[in-house]
Amino acid sequence: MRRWMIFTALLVGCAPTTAVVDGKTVPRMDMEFYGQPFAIQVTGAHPKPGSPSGGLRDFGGHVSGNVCGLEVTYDVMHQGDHTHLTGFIDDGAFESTLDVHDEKGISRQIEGQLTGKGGGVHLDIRKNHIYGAVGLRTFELGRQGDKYVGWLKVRQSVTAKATINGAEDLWTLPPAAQAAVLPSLLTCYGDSIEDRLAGTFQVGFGGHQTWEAHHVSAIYHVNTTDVQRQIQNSSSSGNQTLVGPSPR
Amino acid sequence: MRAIALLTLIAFASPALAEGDNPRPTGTPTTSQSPLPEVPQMPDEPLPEWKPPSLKNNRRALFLSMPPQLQEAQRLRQIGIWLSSLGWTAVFAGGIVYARAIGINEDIGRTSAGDVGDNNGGINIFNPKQEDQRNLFERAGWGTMVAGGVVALVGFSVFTAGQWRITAWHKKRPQDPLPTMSGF
Repeated sequence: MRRWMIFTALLVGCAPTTAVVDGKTVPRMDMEFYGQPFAIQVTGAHPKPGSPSGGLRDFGGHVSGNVCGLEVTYDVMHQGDHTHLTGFIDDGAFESTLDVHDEKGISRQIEGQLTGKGGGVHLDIRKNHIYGAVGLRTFELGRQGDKYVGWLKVRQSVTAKATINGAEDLWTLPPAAQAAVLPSLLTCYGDSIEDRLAGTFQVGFGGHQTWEAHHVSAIYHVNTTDVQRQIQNSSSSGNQTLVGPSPR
Repeated sequence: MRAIALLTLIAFASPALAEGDNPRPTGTPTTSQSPLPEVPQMPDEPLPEWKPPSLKNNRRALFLSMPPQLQEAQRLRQIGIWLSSLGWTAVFAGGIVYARAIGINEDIGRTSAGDVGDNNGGINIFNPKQEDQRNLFERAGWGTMVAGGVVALVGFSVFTAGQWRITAWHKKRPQDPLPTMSGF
């Protein structure tokens, strides 16, 4: 792992500083984004990435920062029909790979792995909906003004109200940054929801920046006793609500 | 005195305000028996085209290793330690000046010849300048000690306010990382 980190550091040091857009050489972009709770820096980004499935084949820069207490760092490569992110989360504790592509111009799919075990990511982001799953959590949210509201489920048994504020600000992030931020952000507040069966899920883009420690992420709250007990209670009473994202 | 009281009040009152900057979502998650929250159903629209953010809108993000409230509390502790150090140094310096005044006073009471502070002769000469000098050193000594004491007290109060904030935060969120030497 240390070799990978050194390699990544060297790669960043050798990263290109310009890109060719419409036949002209233009400088690459450095940007910062923040929300509740995250702060990321995008360096060496392609100035006109377009859609992740738009056909661009080029280096896409580097995304790093803190998302829900997890230190994330990704290298971005535009590979024509999709954008590929490889990197680490939580300060090198887990290797992560994500792929982003657009479907029919209305749906942005983010798929991959946040952590090695059980940290699968399958997200469908649309202008007016967010569906999908991150690890053991499934989500369904719809647009209401400048936020997405809905629910999240943990293993189909524990449900919590979910809100993502700053819907307009979400779309100010380039696709690679969305892919780097959203899956980790959707693991937030595992210390309340999975561990103590309390609290609701509320995160946001833009606005004022907040900060959380890494113990808050759900990747550190899998297989908790309370969640297991809920599953057992639901199984014995026969009341299991199987609700998934509506097919579109 | 009023200034110290006001400063202490502001420092101790701030955590209540600061906590409001980072509210944790409250509420209880439902179990499978409760109805799911309603999800607004709006028709799909084309994905927005991404445009680079303008410089005006791209404000700087803060990259932190601990909550901003704890960083603020740590800054208070550092300011408090600096003020306290300067204050006690001033008290010490004032003490040295006052000791000099005592020395001059003793020389006034004794016969001497030559420079102030010397006791090397038996000539009895009254030198009013010596008294003036003694008074000057005495006032300077007292003034420096009192000012230093006040600054040290302010520094102690500010440090205590910072430490109190760290303690309060740690009790609320024991797993959050803390500044070095925070006492936990």
